[in-house]
Amino acid sequence: MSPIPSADTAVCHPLVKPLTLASALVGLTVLGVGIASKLGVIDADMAKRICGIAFGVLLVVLGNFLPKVARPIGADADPRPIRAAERLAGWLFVLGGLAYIAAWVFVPPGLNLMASSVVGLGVFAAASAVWLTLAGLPRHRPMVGNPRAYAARRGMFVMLHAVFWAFAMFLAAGLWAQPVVTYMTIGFVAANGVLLSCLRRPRHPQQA
Amino acid sequence: MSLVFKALSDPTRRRVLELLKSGPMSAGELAGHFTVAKPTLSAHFAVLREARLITSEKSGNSVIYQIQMSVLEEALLGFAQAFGWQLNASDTPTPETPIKAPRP
Repeated sequence: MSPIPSADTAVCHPLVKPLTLASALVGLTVLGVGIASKLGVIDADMAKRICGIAFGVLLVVLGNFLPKVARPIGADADPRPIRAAERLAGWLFVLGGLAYIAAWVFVPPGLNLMASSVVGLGVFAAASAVWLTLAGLPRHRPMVGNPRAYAARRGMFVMLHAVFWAFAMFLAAGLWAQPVVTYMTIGFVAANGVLLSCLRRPRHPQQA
Repeated sequence: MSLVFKALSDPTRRRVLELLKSGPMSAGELAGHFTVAKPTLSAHFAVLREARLITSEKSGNSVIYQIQMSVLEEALLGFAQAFGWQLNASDTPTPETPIKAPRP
């Protein structure tokens, strides 16, 4: 590896475009549904259902690309466990996301919130358990390889974390009153800050 | 996506992907699993790299390959294996096939 980052690093990672598109679509869908339900175009049950499906789609997209944003070769002493964890977690998120969508579509209103939340939060619990068993917690190492790979990877984890909170807030909004969700939003911002600092970019040995 | 289909529709390339699923390997280690000539094999690697199914990194005087497949691509690989997708003979890479420069 040359110590000087090449001009190529200015170009964004090939996965940035599909991921940005997916999250923008979900954001716009939720916004549109919110406006439509306030205007009375669609009822509250339908609004919840569409938002649930949108987040399920986002989870499927994220799970699909998770094994694709691998750490660069040489970043881990033994890359095998972490690659196995990525692949298994990717499959879990894709199948779990599809199950989450199915729960919103097929379970009758009134029950679909509980059913989908159990599925959605269960998928995250299973994926975390798989990851910790196979790969453990990530270790910081001096950066090798393309920095774009690290940036895309960090974005992936931040978005998965956000989807987890979205699922949890859906459940809280259904079970308790609105203030709980407000507190959860504050909790999400705090947790996201912690996550971002944990995922900070490993420093290049030459830049230290 | 058509690059991915092209890359997956060759038994040798699918075998390379299956081998790489267990972990990164050097070009030499991979060559040990095949009876194909080395230039042919590196043409196969180039097709896989162009489809972004694998990444490579130079280490010393050997090249290390690592798999980089999304869940969808892995499912397609499974289908390709199960139904034995095959290319026309003209699409099979030869060392004379112009190869795009590897991504840094």
